[in-house]
Amino acid sequence: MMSPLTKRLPRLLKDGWAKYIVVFMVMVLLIGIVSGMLVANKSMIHALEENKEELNQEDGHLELAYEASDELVEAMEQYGIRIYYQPYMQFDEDNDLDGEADGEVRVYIVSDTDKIASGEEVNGIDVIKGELPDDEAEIAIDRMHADNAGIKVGDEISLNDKLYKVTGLIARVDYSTLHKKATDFMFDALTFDVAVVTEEEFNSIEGKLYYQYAWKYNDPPQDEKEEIKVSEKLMGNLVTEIERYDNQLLDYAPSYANGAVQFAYDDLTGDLTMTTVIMIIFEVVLAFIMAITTSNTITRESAVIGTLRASGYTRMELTIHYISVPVMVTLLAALVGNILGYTCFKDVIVGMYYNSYSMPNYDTIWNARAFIESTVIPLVVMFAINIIIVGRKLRLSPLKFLRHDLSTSKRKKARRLPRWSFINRFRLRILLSNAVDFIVLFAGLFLCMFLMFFTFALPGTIDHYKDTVVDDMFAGYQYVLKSPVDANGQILETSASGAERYAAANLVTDMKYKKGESIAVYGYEEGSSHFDLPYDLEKDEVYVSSAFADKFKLKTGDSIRLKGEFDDSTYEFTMKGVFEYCGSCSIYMPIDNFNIIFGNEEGYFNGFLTDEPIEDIDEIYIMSSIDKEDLVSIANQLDHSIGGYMRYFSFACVAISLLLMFLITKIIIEKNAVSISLVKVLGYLPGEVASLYIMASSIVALFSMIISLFLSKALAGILFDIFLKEYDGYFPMYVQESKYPLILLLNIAAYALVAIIDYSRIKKIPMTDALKNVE
Amino acid sequence: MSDDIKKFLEISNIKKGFGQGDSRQEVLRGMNFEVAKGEFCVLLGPSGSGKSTLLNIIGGIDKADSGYIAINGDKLEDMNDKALTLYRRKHLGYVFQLYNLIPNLNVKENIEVGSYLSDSPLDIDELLNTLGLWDHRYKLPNQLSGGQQQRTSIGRAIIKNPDILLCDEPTGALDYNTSKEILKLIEDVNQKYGNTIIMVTHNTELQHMADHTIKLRDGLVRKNIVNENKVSVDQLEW
Ligand SMILES: Nc1ncnc2c1ncn2[C@@H]1O[C@H](COP(=O)(O)OP(=O)(O)OP(=O)(O)O)[C@@H](O)[C@H]1O
Ligand SMILES: [Mg+2]
Repeated sequence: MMSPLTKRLPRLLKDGWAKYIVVFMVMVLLIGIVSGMLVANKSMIHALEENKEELNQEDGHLELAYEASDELVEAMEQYGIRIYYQPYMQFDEDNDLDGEADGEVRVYIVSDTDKIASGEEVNGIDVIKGELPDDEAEIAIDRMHADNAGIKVGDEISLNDKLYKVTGLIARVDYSTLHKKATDFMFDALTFDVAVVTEEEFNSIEGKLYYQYAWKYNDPPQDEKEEIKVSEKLMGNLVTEIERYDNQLLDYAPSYANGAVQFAYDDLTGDLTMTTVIMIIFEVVLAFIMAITTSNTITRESAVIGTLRASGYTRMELTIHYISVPVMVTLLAALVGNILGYTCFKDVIVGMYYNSYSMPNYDTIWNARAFIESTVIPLVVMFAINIIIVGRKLRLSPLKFLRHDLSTSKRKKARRLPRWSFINRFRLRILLSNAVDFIVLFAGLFLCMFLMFFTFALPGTIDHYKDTVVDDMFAGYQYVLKSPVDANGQILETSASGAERYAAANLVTDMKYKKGESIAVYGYEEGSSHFDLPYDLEKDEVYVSSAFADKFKLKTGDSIRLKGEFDDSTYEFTMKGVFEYCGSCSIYMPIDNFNIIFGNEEGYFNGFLTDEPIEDIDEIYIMSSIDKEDLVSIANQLDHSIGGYMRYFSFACVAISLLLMFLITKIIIEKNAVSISLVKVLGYLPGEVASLYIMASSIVALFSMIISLFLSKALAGILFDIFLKEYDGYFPMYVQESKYPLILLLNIAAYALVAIIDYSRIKKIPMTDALKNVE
Repeated sequence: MSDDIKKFLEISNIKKGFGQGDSRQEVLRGMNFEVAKGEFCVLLGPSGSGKSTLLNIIGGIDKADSGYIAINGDKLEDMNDKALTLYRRKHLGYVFQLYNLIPNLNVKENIEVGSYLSDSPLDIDELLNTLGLWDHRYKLPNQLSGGQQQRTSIGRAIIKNPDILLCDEPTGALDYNTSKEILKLIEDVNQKYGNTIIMVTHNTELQHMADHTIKLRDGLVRKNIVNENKVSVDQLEW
């Protein structure tokens, strides 16, 4: 039988409509975002995994200094792999046709769809827009780069002094992010592009050829652990063969270690738990707000409840009655949230992914996990918290309800307070008797500020990195040579200003804090102007870049264990001091020591540091060069991918904290409406009433904000370290000092708005409330 | 009694109605009477006769449709919200039927709510003793009996030694003996501090303890009686 109480439900809904609407909106937002995020995410992962199969993604690739002979290919293939030749060329790209290079483009030969399907070729292409090139002077370029650079199908771009018509925007399966080098920390879609042209076109282009070979395992490894083992063994074998055939291994990139393949996938499969957890905490806060609202209604209606209980209604019936409105609001929010989640929120998130990654086409797929995390969990949280709090409250005896004595504590007398002025004691009483509401307020504010802190910390960190990495650069230009001598055995020289030889090698860490992080080892010349470091060091003494020292928490005197990147050799150094360089984890030693340690001939070097570009050395001897632009391009990319969104997010955070403060102060004022009305009747001026009832909230809000800010900073630092440990390289979390007051001010401004609303709420409470004698 | 004193509180042609159109109800239909300073005045009348409505208008909480209230010649009608608040603050004390204490303040603090409003409040400890609340001063309202709550409420009203004490059925929710105690207390206050008291009640017997009784019916003053030989509430039975 339907309880006659049901008739009261519309009234309950009407009484608290403003709160229910706010809670409803926030819940729709949370549920929508979580489900949108999870659905988008799962759909993307699905698309990536499907493409990996269908477009025959490589298991890895390597790069040789010279073209591999058939014998070498055959020799390599005996180790259980199939080799696919996929050469590329790299040019400056001029996409606004102003004659200036806007970035670099890596050009491959367009793959053949049938051959991809039959497995004769690897690394197929997903065409996002337009079509593949099939004629001279036609090109298809990476979709994400095109978006970033504002290139559309049909536009023309110039490379190698030739105009090409862009026929299509594509995503190559081996470039889900535009990592220039497999080991780059970050991709660069702003100034780096991957493109395909027809085979005839490719062969007709004049330019330096890069000898890249992809491979696929005949027996694919079962999991990543096995893959690592197999690929490490494979590398040893390949190095032997390559040397036997007088070639040189320049790059070895198994897929699991290839950023271009792995970065997006890792990102998609990685960071969602944190977000979901934050959302769930938000939902807990909301559930508490609902529960508090309900329990205030119960307090207000305690006489009715007492009478109903006394006349035979069960606790269960009343509990169901009082939680049914919150439950209905939640259910409705879940429904609307899911609809939005699968539509516009999903589109927003997908947009974010497309804004960062070269994603293939995708289909939206239904996702059980999304449903559980976005909908089932919030519902359970809402029900559980409401049932517990409301149920507990209703457990009191009917007599207590009739007496309006709903305190659950056994305390007979009121807490004694310090000898403050009456007004301050009054405020303290308000604070104490509304403690639960204030705790919820604190929790909510903390969450908002924590998230907001990140929205400032991420761009702040990127900018800081950008600033310091340029300041710290040891030279304007850094060149890596293929060998120190030219084809005639002459030692390479340059007259570029500030030119200085150096030697560099790559090792990986073998340390307790983290194994396998790539470390650049530099040997510098005596009296180096680029490295202001002493030369008379013991063989095992090294200087350590500040990035390395900070990340691994190293102090002078600590020992540093490294091992070979491609072999089993091990090295042990002692840290002599810090060299201020935040761009990479590296160590520095005199070049003589370097050559002894790495078994090089005396006088060996493999690069130049200069103040201006080198023009007097033939490009064929140069393996790579780095200048300021290359370093900041990482930061620019990050800025581009996340910077813009962060501003929206920080406003979203302020908006949510505003709504929370609005809700909770509203609840507090409603709860105290009779008292407020009473003191007005007694002759308290509006300002005095506000100073009592708003001041208590203000103090809590302000303290919550300040404490939250400090807590956020500490917590974010810890989380950031954990996050960075996973990746190579280091940049410390950085928030400009001026941002702290800004974060505070934004929230205080939001609170001020709420306080103004509160003030008018208080003013509006009629004095007759106190006289109605209803209670 | 001289005219001057008589004019301390003037209720002049007060009219008040509620509602619109058909459901319009004229509650007060031209009330006229005066209360002298220091007088103990009782308002009698059947339920619904507009006693509380009148008291609210005197208290500046509600506004009359026409007519005016004047205290010492100052008309409430001419005052803005702030002036009305200051009027209540300076001149008025309230005692309600259901006590209306602030639930999260203890007894002493509830009384301090009143003393805060006065520049020269009575001594609170002495008052707590007078009210018989000394032992209960740290209790919260919901830990008190009805009588104790009402005494607290009286304490809150009189600690600022108001010119006028408005009591709306102060004993309406109390038993016979407790009611008597409370009435005795109000009587003592009137005698000790000389406050003007306007007390609304159903109990016709109480007119004998008053200096002045106003009987209302159908929105008009039906009787305005000055009682020359009042007796103490101790001697009344009902
Ligand atoms: N805010 C209001 N809106 C509409 N009608 C009202 C309002 N306040 C009072 N009334 C009406 O005015 C009339 C007088 O009410 P009032 O409370 O003054 O009576 P009373 O004499 O105090 O009665 P009681 O002895 O029961 O307390 C009643 O009929 C009541 O319904
Ligand atoms: Mg009344």
